[in-house]
Amino acid sequence: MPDVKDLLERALETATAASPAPRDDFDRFVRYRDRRHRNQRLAAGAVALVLAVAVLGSALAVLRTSDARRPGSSGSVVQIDPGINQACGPNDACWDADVFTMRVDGSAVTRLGYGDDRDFGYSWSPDGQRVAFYLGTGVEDGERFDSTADIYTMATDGTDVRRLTDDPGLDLFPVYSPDGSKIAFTSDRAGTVDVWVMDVNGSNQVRLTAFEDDRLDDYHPTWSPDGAQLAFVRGKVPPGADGKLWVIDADGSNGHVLLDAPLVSFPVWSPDGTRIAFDTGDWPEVRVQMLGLSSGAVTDIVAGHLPRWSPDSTRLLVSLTEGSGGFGIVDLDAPNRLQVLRSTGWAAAWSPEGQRVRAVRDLYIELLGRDPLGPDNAGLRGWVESGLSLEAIRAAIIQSPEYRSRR
Amino acid sequence: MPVDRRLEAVPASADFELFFRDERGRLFGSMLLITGSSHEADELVQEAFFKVWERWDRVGSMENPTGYLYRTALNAQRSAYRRAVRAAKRTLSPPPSPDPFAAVADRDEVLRALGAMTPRQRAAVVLTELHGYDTDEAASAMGIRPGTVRVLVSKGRAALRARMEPNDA
Repeated sequence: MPDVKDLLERALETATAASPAPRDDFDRFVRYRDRRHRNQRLAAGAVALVLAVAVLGSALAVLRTSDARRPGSSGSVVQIDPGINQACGPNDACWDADVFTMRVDGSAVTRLGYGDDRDFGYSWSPDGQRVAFYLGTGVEDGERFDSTADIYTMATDGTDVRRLTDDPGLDLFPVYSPDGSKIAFTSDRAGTVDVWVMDVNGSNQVRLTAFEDDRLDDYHPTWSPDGAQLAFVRGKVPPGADGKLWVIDADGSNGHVLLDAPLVSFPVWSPDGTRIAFDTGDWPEVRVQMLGLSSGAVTDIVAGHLPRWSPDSTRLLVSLTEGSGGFGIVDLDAPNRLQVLRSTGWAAAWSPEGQRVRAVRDLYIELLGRDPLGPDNAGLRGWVESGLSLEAIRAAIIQSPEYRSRR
Repeated sequence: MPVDRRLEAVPASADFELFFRDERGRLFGSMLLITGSSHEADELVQEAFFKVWERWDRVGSMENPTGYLYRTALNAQRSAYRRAVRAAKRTLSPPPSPDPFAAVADRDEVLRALGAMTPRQRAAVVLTELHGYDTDEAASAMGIRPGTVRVLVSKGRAALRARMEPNDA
């Protein structure tokens, strides 16, 4: 047998020849370094902003009703993973993801504080009281590492964390059922990746996609708004190669293909039940498309990924794939016209509520101390999107005693 | 990806750039052998150099900054959190572009033999046999006991031998 060092030198030469270093490798590193450095500063800034919001919140506590203190109670609060992901797409080396909530103008940033190792894949409970998420950990087993992840829920202020699953596999991507009684999730505990369903307290965990001779993986579940069915992707993970859109009854029967087209991932059923939006295509050319369930027609929406329906099913919140990421809103009456809300971050989501009066009240309360009428206030545009006129919002703000008292 | 111009004031030491250019290729190759993935190797290299850059005032004056670099890369590689997130993203994220290393690794007998080892065996063998680390240095870089390094190297060499000898006979 040749000398081990010679073998390894040969292997090293072969390996690096197969994956040669880019010619601009130091420039690439400088870009990576700047991005990491910037995000460290942003993370520090976010903490400072949270503190500032907390101080402001305390000062205004007398003005708020008790339920207005919940991050999920204020209409179109969006969820965002800043941390390192502030400037990264999901394929970059962005491991320090964290989840914050904020209003659509970027104000009231609140960290859902629970450790540093959460990932995206959050799901709000329909009543806005809790958030389901998964938490991954590494397990050292003898000479090898395995990974495991389990499903948890917590209150939307980051307290009352409850662990719902505890098994050696990867339990991922929890999604509350529309009535809030169950959570669907993806798990590989049975040997293949499957969609599972459990009660919200973690009991009655059932493998939903237990097909005969099952060699394919089933993942990315989404509930129909009546809770009677779930759509999911069926293919081999990692997604993208051959994943197709399937649907199954909530009792595990009647599973069948819904869209016989490859490269589907992250489907999301519209709240009105008429359409399913999904990602399609290879990264980074991924696009958001939409399947009409009565017509069977597929509509191309926009370049982007991770679509999220607005509560009224008229708009999609979409994460962007170009530049530094970010997210925007597409009005389905005008597909391909993207209103960019933020040019960093990704995996944004709507909160479940969208009541106008509450939105206006919370808007001006949250914006006191800033200039809610400023030209860069995307929040106003966001509320206009939700059905209120800009003039009505401005009038409500200007006429409010709280706003006058602070001018 | 746009670069924040405000950050151009951040000093980029000429010494650090030389260090980067001297060490990047070999670190990348080593991580490639250990992880079996050019995507993962690239991530580890970027992160390790970032950590070194942050501490360059201190690391640059060390007797063996290369050792610090490898220790940092291996720390990142075995980070429980990073591994868990990576595993999770495999089922959730859009797929990365095809790894050119995978096709080569399938054809090359030494790379196939390395692939049959555990990641820690590969790390121990690469550090000691390829880079000439002694047991204590490798143990320090891997964050394990020297005795464990000896066991890992022994098992790794045996695995390599078992794979290679039939073809050499």
